[in-house]
Amino acid sequence: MKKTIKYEIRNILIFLLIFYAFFQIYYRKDFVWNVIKLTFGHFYLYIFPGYCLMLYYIKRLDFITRLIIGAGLGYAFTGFVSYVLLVALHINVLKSYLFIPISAILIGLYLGYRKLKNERS
Amino acid sequence: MGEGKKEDLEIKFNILKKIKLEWILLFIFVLFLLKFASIFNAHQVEHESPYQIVAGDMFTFMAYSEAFKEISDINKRPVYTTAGYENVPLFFSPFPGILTAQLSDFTGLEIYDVVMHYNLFFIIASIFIIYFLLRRINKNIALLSLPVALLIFKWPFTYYMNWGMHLSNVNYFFVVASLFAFLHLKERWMFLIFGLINGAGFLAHGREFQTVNLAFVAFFGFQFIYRRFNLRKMDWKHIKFYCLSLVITLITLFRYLPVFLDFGATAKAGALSGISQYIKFCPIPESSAYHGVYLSTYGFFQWFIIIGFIVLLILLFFKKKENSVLVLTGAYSLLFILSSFFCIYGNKTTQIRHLSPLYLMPIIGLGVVIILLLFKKIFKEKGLAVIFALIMIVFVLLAFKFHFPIPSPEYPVSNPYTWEAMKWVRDNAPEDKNVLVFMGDNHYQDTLFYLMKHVFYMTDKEPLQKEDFSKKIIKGNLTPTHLVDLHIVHWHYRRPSFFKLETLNATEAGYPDPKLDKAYYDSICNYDYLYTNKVSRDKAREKYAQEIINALVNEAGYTKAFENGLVVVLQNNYKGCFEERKVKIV
Repeated sequence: MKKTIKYEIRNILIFLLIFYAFFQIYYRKDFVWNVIKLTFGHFYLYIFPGYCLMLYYIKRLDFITRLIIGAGLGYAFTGFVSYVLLVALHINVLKSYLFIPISAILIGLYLGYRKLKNERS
Repeated sequence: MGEGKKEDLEIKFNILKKIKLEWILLFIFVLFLLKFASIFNAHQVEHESPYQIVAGDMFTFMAYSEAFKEISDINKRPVYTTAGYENVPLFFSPFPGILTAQLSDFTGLEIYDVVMHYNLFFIIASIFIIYFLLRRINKNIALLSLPVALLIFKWPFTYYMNWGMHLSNVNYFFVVASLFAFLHLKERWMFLIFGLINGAGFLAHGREFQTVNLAFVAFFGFQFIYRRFNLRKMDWKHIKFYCLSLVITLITLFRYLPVFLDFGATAKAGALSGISQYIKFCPIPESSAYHGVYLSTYGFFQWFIIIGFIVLLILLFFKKKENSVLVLTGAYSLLFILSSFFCIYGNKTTQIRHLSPLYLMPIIGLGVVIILLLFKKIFKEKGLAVIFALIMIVFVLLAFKFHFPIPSPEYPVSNPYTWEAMKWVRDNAPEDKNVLVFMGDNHYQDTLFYLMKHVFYMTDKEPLQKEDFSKKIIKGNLTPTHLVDLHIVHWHYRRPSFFKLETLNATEAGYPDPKLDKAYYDSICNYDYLYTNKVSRDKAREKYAQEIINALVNEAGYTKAFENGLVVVLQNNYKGCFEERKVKIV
């Protein structure tokens, strides 16, 4: 279990670094802080929540597959929940979007942890 | 040589051994990708004004994104997008607007910068997702598919970037992510995830959603052929989960179901735009125009597209052993090619064709690799690997030589002066005040002024208005009466009940006659603010605008609320207007 967790942390950090490096090189004339904000924005709001939700499949699917589907899921999940809250409860999308990702991250981490624990037992 | 140094050399050599040829080729591709993409944005996220935007649709997307920052009720669009009319539901594709509003708020970047960033981000992400998808078939097919993707950064494909395909770019990301999820649909609960991603695609833009779902159906069709038309051999579990996922997708579309179910409203909406046919064959010369995409647009790649197309058809219909990734990517490429020849409810096929470098990626890689694999016995595996690597590098270099893009002008429509003035109006003019946008060389994309977040009218946009201006200038007729245009974005819907949707034209929506969605004569002193360029390339127009400004300030009691090198914003204090008279202009 520890090995799996270490492997996952390593992979997601490598991906984060590649993501940041790509955009830092691309937006090289802009302030570093803007690129950091952009990277963190994508990761916190969408990519990481989606990746965490896909931890349910940690023993079934490889990292790249989970990351790609997770990225699609992350943008879809945060966007859709914001949209539903706007339509159903009249909550503006800027008021809801900060807690939606953290909820997805916590749910995803819990699901992933349970999967690993079940596999172990 | 000492033992320590020998060990060092061995370690270094071992590390080098781990570096695969594939990674080197990917690295080379990424370098060229960065170079090609560098024609946008001038290597900056932030710009002083909406940057390199050429067409009005982009400003519309930005206006809706701004709207999502404000609204708490989706049945009440901000009145500056409805020319003052209240209680108009927002049906425009919500996803891009929501994602843009959120990232803009989180990072503090302007909406227009986030829109351009998302355009690029989702396209680049899609390229790599397709690469990883094709890698499941064959690593070399994946690598050889990459060079053609570089063409997405060149005109006419860049239509997607700075003309008006922001929605398609966002949706395409969901399309390619859903391809991955589709392959794993039999995993537990994956139908929920797939259904959500699929639904998000629709909520981003319907066109690509329609096409990719037809591709999923075609996938099962090809599977039926592979299994020799034997229904019992079909993968019913996969089909079952796809059907279940469609239920989830339909739930995500709940708000749009009345649009589909109320055919009367849909037909009327089409009729309001002069469209009578739902689906129409749109061959290339006939469909949208002045930026058509043809096979010859691909240069030398066109031959590989033709070869790849033939190879794909042979593999899909005659290959003995089924490969689900090959069938899926083949079905997706074919359906997108087919879809690009049909207009759906008047939608131009440009929406599909301008993303063609992406959906043709599999075809290129497939064609080259399959043909060369025929010579496997001659070249052997390692020899072929070297040949594929060389071909990929040659493709990238040829793309660089013949298809390297030219940057668009920095500020073709908006510019820092215009944006500064619009921001002043946005931040300082009371919400309920309206603005008359008087004269400006860059006023032909009226949707730019939606970013002012105030109801606005224009006098210098339509050919009829420009003709009227010219007549007044030639005659030296300084008058407050001008031809005013009221722009209404999209149709107005009214929703008496959930399943009942009504589409209204301008009269039905309540615009008083004769102030319909067309130009009418009115006094410029009837508006709360007057926004005008004080400088023009045409010196006669410039002088006329300055005479108007002087008359309003000196005789009608207007005050100069804002001024910069290009724009003046005058505030109406309602102290009357100026007398019509003759002045010498030319």
